Amino acid sequence: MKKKLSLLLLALTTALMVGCGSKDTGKLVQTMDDLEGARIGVQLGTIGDIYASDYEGDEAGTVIERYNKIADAVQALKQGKIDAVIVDEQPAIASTENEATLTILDEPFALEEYAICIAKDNDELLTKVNEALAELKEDGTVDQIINNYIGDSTKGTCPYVSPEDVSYDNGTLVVATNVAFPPYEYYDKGEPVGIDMELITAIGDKLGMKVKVEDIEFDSIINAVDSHKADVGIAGMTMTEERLKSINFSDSYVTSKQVIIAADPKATGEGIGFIDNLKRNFIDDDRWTFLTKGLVNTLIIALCAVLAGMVIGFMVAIVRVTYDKTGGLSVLNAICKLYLTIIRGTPMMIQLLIIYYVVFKSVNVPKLLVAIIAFSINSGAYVAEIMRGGIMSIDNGQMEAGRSLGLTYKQTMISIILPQAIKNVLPSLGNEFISLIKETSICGYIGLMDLTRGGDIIRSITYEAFLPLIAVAIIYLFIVQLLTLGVGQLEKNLRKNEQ
Amino acid sequence: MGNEVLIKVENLSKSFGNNQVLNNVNLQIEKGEVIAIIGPSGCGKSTFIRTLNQLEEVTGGAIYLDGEDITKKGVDINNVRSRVGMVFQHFNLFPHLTIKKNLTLAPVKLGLMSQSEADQKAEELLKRVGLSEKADAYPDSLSGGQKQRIAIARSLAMNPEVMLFDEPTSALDPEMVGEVLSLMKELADDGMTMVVVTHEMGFAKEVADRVLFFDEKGIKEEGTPAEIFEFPQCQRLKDFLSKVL
Repeated sequence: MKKKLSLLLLALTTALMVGCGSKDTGKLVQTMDDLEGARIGVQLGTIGDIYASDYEGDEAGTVIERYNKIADAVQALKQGKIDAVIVDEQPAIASTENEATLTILDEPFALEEYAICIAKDNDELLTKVNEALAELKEDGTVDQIINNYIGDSTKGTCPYVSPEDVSYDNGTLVVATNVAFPPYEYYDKGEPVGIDMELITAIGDKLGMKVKVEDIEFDSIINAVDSHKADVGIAGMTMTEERLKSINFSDSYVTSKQVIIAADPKATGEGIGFIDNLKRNFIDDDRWTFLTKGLVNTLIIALCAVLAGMVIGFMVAIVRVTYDKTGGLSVLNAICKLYLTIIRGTPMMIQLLIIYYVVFKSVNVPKLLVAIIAFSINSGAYVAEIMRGGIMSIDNGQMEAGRSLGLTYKQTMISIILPQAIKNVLPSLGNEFISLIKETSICGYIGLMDLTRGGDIIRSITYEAFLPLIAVAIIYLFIVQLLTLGVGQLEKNLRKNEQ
Repeated sequence: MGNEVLIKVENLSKSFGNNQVLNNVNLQIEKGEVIAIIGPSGCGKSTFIRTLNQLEEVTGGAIYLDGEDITKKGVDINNVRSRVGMVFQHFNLFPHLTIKKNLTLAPVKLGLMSQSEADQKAEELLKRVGLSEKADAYPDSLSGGQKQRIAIARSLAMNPEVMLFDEPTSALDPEMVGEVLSLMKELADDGMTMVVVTHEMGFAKEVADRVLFFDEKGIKEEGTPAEIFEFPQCQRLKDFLSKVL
């Protein structure tokens, strides 16, 4: 075991070295004209993506790489996988701060205006938001907020403070955003902050509504607002014709530039050292707490889902076996078969999204519960088939012996067949639990902070892809190893019982 | 020999799909009688014995136990089975339960005895089959002969009116056949009504009151052991005996 672990660590370290080394191939982008034929990185669904798409497939062979996070794109640029990143000016400044090898081209790529998105059928809120925005522009609050985040002399000097007499009689304003876009929204000491966050709080104060922030993927924000999962979306979002087809926008609150990040031909030396990097990723601002909080959620989801999945799987298996063996319960069996077909035939992520955005569209259910429900239903299907296999593997003679003693089908099932079946399938159930734990890593898609997303959040703050990912991988590995040991021990104990 | 009829089989037929296995079987079994069923494999003898506790449903005819037709719809089949013990070729002990638990499970679950009554009965039975020291062991630690003795004890724990044995020694190593047969002989001597499908001609000869020769979908010939083994009538039986004796 120890030998295994040290081998593993060796492998990881090697991977770390390789990952940190940078390659220097590809095209050097120094002006906008150089973009033709280059490999351009963008954040999926952003304005940068839309603009860059114009170049895609041109004669010069321009390639667009779409990333979920700016941090990923910047990391790719650093490693020479792409030649340039098109991104909003402020996030560009923030993400190149610690990167000596990268530079922002002086020439802006495009100008754009940010606005708040609101569902098409919610004109009442749109009007109110626009009124509040107008008032805030009038009294200088908007400028004050922007100055608090942008401008070397004013940065951090003038945060927005809610008026003391504000009362939140009008309920909650649920705000969808993607907290990975400094200085508009990012995490500071675990709290979402930034221009957008302060602005929406100010608007909430005007409306008498308490702001509740939902951190989801950028390309899910419009969906979330449209399906009323959130009241408004604010995420440095530019009004475009395409977006206007599915959503309404408020008046603009800030004008921003799209800029190009490229490799700096004059750059010398490497970035910061490994230890500093460790410190920056995990120690500063207690960033490791993103991992621990995420881990707790991951464990809660996996544990609840495996228990509930067991109950579901159990019942479905009984129905299926009863049908197979006696021909009874044919209607229930048909339902169970449909359930198994659908759940086992579609990806877990799609199921999670459907349950969140479609099934619970108009009901306000905590995300943790949504995730537990989705994973329980999914796991139930796999457990059902495992259990069914377990029950079918028990010799028919056991059922006959039980029945010949006068026990009913149900009594025989419960006292004789199931205890043996469960023992037989225990290793498979353990494996199911292990894969379930790893599957929960898709929870970020509904904005739930699980372990993977905890790492993602660190990445969005530090713009460092490698360390947080490796840390997350090690934690998963550790849990899985622990479980594997546990299952093995349990099996051993059960076997001992019969001798 | 008493002449009170315990089991009466009338015009019994059984098919699996288009394959008829039993055709028009008639039989009366009196209380305390020991019946041995012999015959070539595939002659329907196992199927026949399994219809007697309805592990196989019949496709025609009737079976009366104490005058009640157990093939009728609406009969409490679990109650019937609790009165008819069955011993299988492959023992079918419950591997996840101790020997004692194997014996007490059914009587307690069915509410026939309290756990302590069942425990006491189990201890008596284990003593009778000579395996008292195995009470807390698990089936996998026993030899085949021991397993079958436990299986017999498990059936006896229900205080059955009749015991069915479906080739009880066929899965045993030769040196273990004896211990099972002598236990069965003791049971017969104690007056238990028994129906035994067997390939042990010695047992049939020595212990059975009546021997049935099954062939061609039914009882081809029946009689006392002497009649069957010394003076077989039909050619099929003669052929069969010449092969097995």
